[in-house]
Amino acid sequence: MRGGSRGNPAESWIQAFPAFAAALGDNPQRQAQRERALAAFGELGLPSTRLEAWRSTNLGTLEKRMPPAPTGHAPEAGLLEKAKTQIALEADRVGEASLRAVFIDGHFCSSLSSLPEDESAIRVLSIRPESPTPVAFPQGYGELAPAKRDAFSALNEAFTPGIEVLEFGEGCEIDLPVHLVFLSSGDGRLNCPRLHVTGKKQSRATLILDFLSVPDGENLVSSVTEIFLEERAHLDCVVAERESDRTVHIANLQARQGRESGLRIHTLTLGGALVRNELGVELADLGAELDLNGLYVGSGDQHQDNHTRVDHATPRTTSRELYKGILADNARGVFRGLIHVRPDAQKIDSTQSNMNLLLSPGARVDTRPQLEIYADDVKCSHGSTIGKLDEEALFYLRSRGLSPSEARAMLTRGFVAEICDALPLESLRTAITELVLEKLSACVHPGGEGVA
Amino acid sequence: MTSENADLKRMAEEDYKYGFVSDIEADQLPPGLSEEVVRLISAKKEEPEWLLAYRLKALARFSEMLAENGEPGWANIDYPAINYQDISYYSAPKAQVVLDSLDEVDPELLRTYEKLGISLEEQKRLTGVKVAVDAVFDSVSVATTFRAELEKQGIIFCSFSEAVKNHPDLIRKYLGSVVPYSDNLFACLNAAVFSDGSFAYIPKGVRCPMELSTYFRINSSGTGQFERTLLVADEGASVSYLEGCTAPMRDENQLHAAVVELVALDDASIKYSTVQNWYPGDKNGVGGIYNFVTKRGACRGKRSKISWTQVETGSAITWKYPSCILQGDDSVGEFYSVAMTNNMQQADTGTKMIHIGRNTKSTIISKGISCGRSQQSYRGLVKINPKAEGARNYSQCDSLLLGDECGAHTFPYLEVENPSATVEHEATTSKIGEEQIFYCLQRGLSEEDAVSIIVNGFCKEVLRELPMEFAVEAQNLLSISLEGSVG
Amino acid sequence: MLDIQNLHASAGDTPIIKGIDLHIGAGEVHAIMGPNGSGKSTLSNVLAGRPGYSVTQGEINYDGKNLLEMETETRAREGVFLAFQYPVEIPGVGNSYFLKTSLNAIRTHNGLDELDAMDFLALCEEKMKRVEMPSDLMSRSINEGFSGGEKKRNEILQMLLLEPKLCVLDETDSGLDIDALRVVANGVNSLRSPDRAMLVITHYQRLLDYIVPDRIHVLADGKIVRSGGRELAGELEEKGYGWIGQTE
Repeated sequence: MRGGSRGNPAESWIQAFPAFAAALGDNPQRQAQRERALAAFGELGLPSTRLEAWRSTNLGTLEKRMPPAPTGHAPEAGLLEKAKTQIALEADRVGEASLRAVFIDGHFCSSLSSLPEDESAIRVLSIRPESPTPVAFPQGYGELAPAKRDAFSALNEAFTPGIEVLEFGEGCEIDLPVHLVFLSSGDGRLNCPRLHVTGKKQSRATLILDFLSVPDGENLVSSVTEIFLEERAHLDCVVAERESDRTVHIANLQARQGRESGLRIHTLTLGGALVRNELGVELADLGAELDLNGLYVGSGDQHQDNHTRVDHATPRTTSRELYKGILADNARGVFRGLIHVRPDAQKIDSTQSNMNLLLSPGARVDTRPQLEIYADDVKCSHGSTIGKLDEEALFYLRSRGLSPSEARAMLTRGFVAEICDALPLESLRTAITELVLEKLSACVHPGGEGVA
Repeated sequence: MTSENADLKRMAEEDYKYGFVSDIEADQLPPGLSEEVVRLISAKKEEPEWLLAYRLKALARFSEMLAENGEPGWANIDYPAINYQDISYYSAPKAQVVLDSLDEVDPELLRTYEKLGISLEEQKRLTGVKVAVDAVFDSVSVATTFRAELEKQGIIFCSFSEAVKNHPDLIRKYLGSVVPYSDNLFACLNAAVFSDGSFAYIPKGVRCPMELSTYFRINSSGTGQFERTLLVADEGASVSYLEGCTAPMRDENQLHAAVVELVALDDASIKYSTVQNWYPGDKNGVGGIYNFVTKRGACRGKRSKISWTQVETGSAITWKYPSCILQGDDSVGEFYSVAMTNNMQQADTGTKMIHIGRNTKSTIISKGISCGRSQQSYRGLVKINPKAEGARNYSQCDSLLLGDECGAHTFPYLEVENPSATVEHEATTSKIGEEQIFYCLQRGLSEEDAVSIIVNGFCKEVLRELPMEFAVEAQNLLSISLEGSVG
Repeated sequence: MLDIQNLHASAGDTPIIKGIDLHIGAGEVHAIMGPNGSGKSTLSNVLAGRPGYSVTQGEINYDGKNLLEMETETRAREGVFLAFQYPVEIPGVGNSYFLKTSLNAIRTHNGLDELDAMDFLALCEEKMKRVEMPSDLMSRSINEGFSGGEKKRNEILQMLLLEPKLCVLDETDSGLDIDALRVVANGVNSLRSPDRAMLVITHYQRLLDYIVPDRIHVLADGKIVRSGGRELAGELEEKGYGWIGQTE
């Protein structure tokens, strides 16, 4: 990706880096790694809309209100107290977890976290400044989201307080979800959480990446997650983005799947002023199966951009992708979904569907489903629809006694049901569905002009 | 199957049917692009001052664009940068033609068209299905048939150069009004150096009684072809227009950068059909035409309709997006396309449907067939502007892969800014069905015939949009282009 | 119960109904027959208040009230039920959830308490038996993936649950095999009562063998051209609709 910004507006971050690094006090190896990433960031600059991949998402407003660079200090006690309240309010709604780890502004917060006693199933091997040297880097670290490829991965690598490493042990089956909470505690901060997940052979787990912020906090979150699934590993990964509607979140999640592994990623974008999900999965070995579910619900002036890339790198791999969007008020939704089939990757089965509902005159959506196919023995399809609620269905419901707003609400809920129903674990499904319905009620206004 | 494959391979290596070179003395400018060349072209055509000024403006913009950004980089095609100084921008058969009198046409030229299956002589005698033909040889229009008959109804159908002389007001009014000279690099080049092309005007309320047709032929070596077509259908008028193209086999790449502008006023309809069979280069990708064409129609009037149908089998590289600007309320845009690529061909083609007026409707049906080592992309934009209340679009893009070394890619862009719009897009990519082929073989068909009928079936939705006499030609072309691709 | 006077109505801008007078008293079952395009479906759509249909002249009085002044859902809550010719598929919305919401909206409107989930399920199960509907259809989305017969049974099930005062059945027999037709007709017949009126719209006489009407009206080109007793159906069956035109 070539950078497109003229006169780097992120200059201040680069200048603030030495102070950040000094405060953090990393070992020389990590320090060098950060510096390389910072150099890559300087070279790439923030992407502009002249880049095809950023055609529909303008970071112009971000450039005008750039938060200062992180200080490198862990959050103070006062913030911790506030965060506790926040977590009690929000994170607990997602329910019981076999492990909960809370990161405040990217810093691990042990007092709010509960780690499992038995490490055979879930191991936390994070690399933080206080970790002993030399640091054992997890296998594959940085391969899927290298700093040199895009500016935000570079930014993340330079400024992340630590690399959170999570491993699901070989053959383990974890019944309760693992709940990782990433909270932006302040206002006007740059937060760079970094996560590395490995599902060992035949492991089976559910992971929630829960992004929260204090109400009204205006922050930039640049998160990077790399997921590696070994042979026959299965992972359900739920990404819940429910930060304040002043947050800018650039979320990069990249995964590589081994032989006969199964990965399901559910991305729910509810909050944020501007959210960009950069989601890429490489189906790297025979028999890998991938399910991508996505839901974006925008109201007010929210801008929600989902960029997915499914890379069928080997034969006999399967992917299914379904993204749905509901845009109300002046919200804008963007979907770009690429299915890539490499040469000789035969016997591929891949479907992709993107459906959008526009609820008000100011709402808009840009969608770009894409197929790039370099092998012939494939079955690939994509479909995309954009429209309003079905008038025939509205009439049907009204003829059974429902008011127009009840009918609209019911149809809108019906529209998202397919995504919510696919969520893992009943308790989680119930909890997340509730979050979605709350957000929907903010979109479907009673009387809803221009909807019926 | 192997022996059949060998047969097919042999057939594939047969010559491109239209690859002959006609030995006609040509009046050709030396290679090079400059203000002087543009002035020379304009002078040869005895053009008015305003047209020269237009050309020069375009040339200046072209140089700027080339210096700033080079050639458009976004398409999924790959070729070495073109040296615009190596191309000759004007080539005309020396024996000049007095139009409407075929007797004076160079007999070699007439024979060329006979070989192409377009007998200009025949045209005079044909009864029943009538097609008025404007033949463009290299850069110059050589003959337009049936003119007198059309004139009775007030229809103007002539070469572009003649139109400049005889209908300057119409040309001045509409030239560049749909594709501005600065639209893109190739349109800009065309505006600077276009040599000829066709012009048609259908007056108010007239339904053109016959198909209008232009046949393009690049003959001379080292030349480019830069023709310009302008069709205007006045209120309530309707016309069907056909376009065909061929070129000799040469191991050089020749540039074809045409511009087509269509204007439909209230209740007018234009159907524009193309069978593009420029020389595609040999099986190793040597030679062939670079077909970099800008085609756009403006549905200016209420209830107007523009329909593009294209069958693209030729050219080394195709870069082409026939588009509709749906300005008038209730106007309709359609795009039906079959693109087949074989060997080393590359095609990046599709359409743009820009919905501006209320209750505008568009339909896109695109069928791509990739064989050999070719790469093909569908690229299309559907844009619903905020004011386009009640707009609807339906798009369907299917790709068929024959062979494991080719690629098929689909890049639709859907941008919707009005909540009352309904936009639907569907696409599939798959290989040709083994079961289907087996079924045909079991019923006694050869593999080649089996593939051919399956491909024709795959394209049926598009082929049936073609006028009769073109549909047959298109089916034959598909079969020829398929040869050697089974396996 | 239903009193239609000099009704003229258009679908979009096209006039379809050109002067209909029709009186259906409580306890009566009337049938409307007629060839395609005669205005049968337009009449049912006007009664239910479908958007896109406009009444250009005339009045409809329902149970002492002006029907045309009511919103679609108000008509439903007041007891007007239209069994759709083409029931709509609504993915994602559970059939059972939808029926409960609908029933409670109508109950609330009529000053009754809402039913809780348990009571609703019990009621539902009883009614489902009557239309021989498999129970898994309740947990699926509204009409999604239902066969033609299942969709029509679902319509009748809704009718049984909601217990409307005026039932309008729009070509409910279309696409049904003989078994399904019998089930549907039994459901409808079980609802016949002295305080309920029914309007059965159909193209064929077949349905009227099962649901025997008190009166039959023949609609042609937007007008009622013949009215009579049940024997009229037999005549139509024998002579076809062409005969209507000839007798005029």
